Amino acid sequence: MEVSPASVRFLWRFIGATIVYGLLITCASWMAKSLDPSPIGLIALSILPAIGIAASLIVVGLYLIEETDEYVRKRQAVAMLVSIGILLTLSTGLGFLQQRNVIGVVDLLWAFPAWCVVWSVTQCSMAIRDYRRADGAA
Amino acid sequence: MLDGDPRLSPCGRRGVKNRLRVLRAERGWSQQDLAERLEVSRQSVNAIETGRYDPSLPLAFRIADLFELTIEQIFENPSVAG
Repeated sequence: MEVSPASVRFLWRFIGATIVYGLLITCASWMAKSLDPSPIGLIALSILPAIGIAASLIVVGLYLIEETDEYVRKRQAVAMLVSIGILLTLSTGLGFLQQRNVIGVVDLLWAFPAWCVVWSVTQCSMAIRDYRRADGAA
Repeated sequence: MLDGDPRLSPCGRRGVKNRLRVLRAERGWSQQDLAERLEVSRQSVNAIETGRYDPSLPLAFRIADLFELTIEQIFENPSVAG
């Protein structure tokens, strides 16, 4: 399976953004725990991991702009929408259960990593489905 | 009922019928060969051939130019298809 130059660029950028996100969230968590900041300080610290998420989403947007293969671009957009749909559906269900005290507090910090995992699984399932549908006429 | 609809692709999706596979086979090209000539992925060629994806107008023109045919000679107009 060939990989487009835009995909390669996206991969490296996304790895970079994810590392930045990991560093920022680790740093923010450590500072919140060690420095006991004021509420305003905590709000300021909460921006740090959000910067990492924003960077990741900008990287995703750049990929959709730079990918010249329209079919691949469409598939990625579909995979993203499906993964967002799954995550929002799941979060709505968990939110309801949380509101009724059936489950404990769900850590919202896991939303972005969960979306990445669901996005990857969606892409894999689409690739498997396409492979099965392909008639091997290559 | 969608069953038996001649415009359905093998996967059951209503895609525009095309002669891409026949034209490619006439020239002895593989899907990879055609993909390289069109500067798209092999998956794109496969998806178009099997009716899972309808190309944009610019890509349809590139395909038509490559085979030196008109778009209508490659892609069946769904509004006039029987």
